[in-house]
Amino acid sequence: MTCNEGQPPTPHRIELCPDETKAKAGAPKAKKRLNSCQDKQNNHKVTEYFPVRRSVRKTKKTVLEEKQRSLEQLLRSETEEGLEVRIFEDKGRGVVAAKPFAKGDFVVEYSGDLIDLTEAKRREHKYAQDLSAGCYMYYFRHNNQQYCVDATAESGRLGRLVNHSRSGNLITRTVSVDGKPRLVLIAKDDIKEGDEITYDYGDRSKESLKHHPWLAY
Amino acid sequence: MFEARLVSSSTFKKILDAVKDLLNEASFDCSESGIQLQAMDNSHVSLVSLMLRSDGFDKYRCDRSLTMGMNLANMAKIFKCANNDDTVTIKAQDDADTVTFMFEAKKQEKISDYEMKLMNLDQEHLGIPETDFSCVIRMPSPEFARICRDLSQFGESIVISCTKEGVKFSTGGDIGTANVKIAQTNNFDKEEESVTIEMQEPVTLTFACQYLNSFTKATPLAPQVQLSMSDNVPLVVEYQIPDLGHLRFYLAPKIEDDEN
Repeated sequence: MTCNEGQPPTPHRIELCPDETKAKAGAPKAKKRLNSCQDKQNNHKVTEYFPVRRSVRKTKKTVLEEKQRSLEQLLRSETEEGLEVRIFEDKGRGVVAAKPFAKGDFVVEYSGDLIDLTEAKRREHKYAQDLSAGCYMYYFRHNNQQYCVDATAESGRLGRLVNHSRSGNLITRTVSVDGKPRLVLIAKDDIKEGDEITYDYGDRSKESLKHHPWLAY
Repeated sequence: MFEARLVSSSTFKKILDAVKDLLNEASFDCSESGIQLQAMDNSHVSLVSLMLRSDGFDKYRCDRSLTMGMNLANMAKIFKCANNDDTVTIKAQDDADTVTFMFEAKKQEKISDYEMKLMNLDQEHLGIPETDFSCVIRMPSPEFARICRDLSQFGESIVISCTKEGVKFSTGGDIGTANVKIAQTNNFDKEEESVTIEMQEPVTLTFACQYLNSFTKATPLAPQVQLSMSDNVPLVVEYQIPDLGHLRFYLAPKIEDDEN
């Protein structure tokens, strides 16, 4: 009955004792808390069965799919942003970056007519007779099939104006959009604003070098 | 822009009633396919998984996937302000930090909208693998609620054992023991009242009453409940929300004495 050992128990004290009322009220709560504590110890957790996945983290596959989708979107809309044509004294027209590109960014499409090899041969023969025409035939393989993109005809597109350099800052990739292969130029390194964008044409044949000695550099 | 419209607000009321005991707050993941919610209770013993398909809504638009973290108690307060037959529209802008609930009374003489602040919740998502369960029991949901309520008076955990004879719920405590056996019904007239048991192999598992009782708060959502069990995986308690989706509860089993 005592709530304070130092004092003798009196009826008044019992009524007024704050500790006891607190203990009474607190008792069931404490028990409940103990129970839930026990529950945690006695119960398995769902995390033991199901692996935790960070909601924001995407799998590598989804990241790649998203990248592919945004690239296809860019190609369909024929976007050519952050680029401008500049005329160089020594080599004529070229394309410079008007904004920085990060490594791996899509820069521009090498757009033109997608043709097969026989058509390409026929056209090349035709172009050879016209000495003023430049060389705009891009041969490539996609899914084990040879294709050519012919960009000889003047168009507003910038891909055909990108110059050659053996140590260029772009690389070419093929991307399938709506079942058709397309050639895209991707930043090989980070590209600063004002840099000329170039890529390796890859043509080292004797015949080509004779007509276009700059291919060697 | 996100907008979802449902003719009756009672479904949302029932869902909130079913989960607000287990969860204080939760993230609603909205995408083209619908609204999803996955969250564990504080002790990580149970998991709530809600799916509301976009085609089940009367109007659904989600231009960009978004995650809305909401305090469920506050959300319940808002839905208390709606009548059961009010039409509810949930709206949010892309990248918004608030969500708007609009309630329209049936005769359209009254429109109320409530805007609620969203929360940034850093919640863990669990990957739930597809499982072929050893036992799948379908029974009337009020019956299951009744059994859980009755047995929880006698003990803190319920043993569910499923054999080809039927399913047995049992518990024991200081007072004594309690057993409820349910057999498969042969009466196919009333689908809602039938008990069906699909069993590959018998299973016996022990679960905490407290959680099962919380799950049965979802009883008003569906006339039937489905219990899926296998050894060494959590129990799945599933309520189908007619034409809209489902509400699932996962519950990890108790650690049995002989395991220690």
